[in-house]
Amino acid sequence: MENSWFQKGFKKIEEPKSPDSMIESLMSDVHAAFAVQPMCYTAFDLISSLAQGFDLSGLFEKEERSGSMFTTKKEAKEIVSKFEEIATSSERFDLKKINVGVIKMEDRREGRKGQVAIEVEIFEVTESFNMVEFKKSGGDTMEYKQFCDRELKPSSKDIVWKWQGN
Amino acid sequence: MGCLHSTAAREYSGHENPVKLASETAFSVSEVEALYELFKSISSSVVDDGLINKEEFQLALFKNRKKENLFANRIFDLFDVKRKGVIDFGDFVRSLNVFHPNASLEEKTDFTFRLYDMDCTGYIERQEVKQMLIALLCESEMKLADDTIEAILDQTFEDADVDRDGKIGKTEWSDFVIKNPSLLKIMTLPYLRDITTTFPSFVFNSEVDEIAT
Repeated sequence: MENSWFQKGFKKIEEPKSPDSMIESLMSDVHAAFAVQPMCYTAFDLISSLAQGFDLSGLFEKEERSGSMFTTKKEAKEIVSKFEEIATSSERFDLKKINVGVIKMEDRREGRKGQVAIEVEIFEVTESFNMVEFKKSGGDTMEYKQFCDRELKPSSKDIVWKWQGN
Repeated sequence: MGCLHSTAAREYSGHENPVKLASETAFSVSEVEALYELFKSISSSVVDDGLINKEEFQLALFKNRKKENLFANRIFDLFDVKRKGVIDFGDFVRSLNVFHPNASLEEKTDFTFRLYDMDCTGYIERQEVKQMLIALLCESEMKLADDTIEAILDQTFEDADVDRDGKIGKTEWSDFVIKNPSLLKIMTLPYLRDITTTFPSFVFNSEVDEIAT
């Protein structure tokens, strides 16, 4: 059975499940449902994301913006795990899936302007090349920036290939 | 009415009248005046000649003169409506108009088509898109295998190039944009709705108050 030729199409017969393992498989189903399906990115979406010159907001903003978009060679589920990890270790943020390819990190605490919320969107270019964009979707901008600069960006370093923007 | 024209002429000498520009765009007169404040600061940043050159445009976009960028150049070319190598106030307002939240889907679609049709052949060719992608990846210091790039192009052209002639025509582009509205995301600047609050200095020399009195 070690020979891979025998393992092709081989399906192991499962033993009947005990109540505990039922719960476990239920949780993994929940996890699977929670699995983030990234949005499909066309070549043009990729071009406009990479081309910072396409974003004319720079004409109206007074300071240089710090990038909140990065390319990654990791798959979607690794990206989600990383954000889960960041949320857990922050001891403040909860992670929720809100849409196809979109997850939300929400601060449990109330800040100066309500709860800081961050929307993270994953765009699939190819399976091992994704674009991740995150932005503030609620709360005080300064508190959002502080979290990004102190925790989110440093902790996401091992999945980032290149930051887009400055 | 005579009073308005002469003060407008003084303030906007050499440039188109804000009332005229407002009538041709989605901007109100006060918004055009606010845009004039922005235009003045950009156009005087390197050479104080009342016109925006490429360097000034780059500086305004990136706050950094050294950043030579393929696409900033492309956008500049599209704003430089009269192909003079500089953007005047009329060009500026009319081009920004396309980015207004109220501008039509058609105008935005047309702008993006011309944006990607880098060699201006009236078609977006596959080879063109490939070159753009490679140039950008290079600028971003990222490398992708040729197969990967080809796979990305295959997927996109499969969707967009309906008649399979290796290029995307205007109609194919319009249809493609409808299916992929994210492509127009870059074509709307919400800032343009609040331009009068972003550039409040216009309040002190507004023509609008004069009309009211």
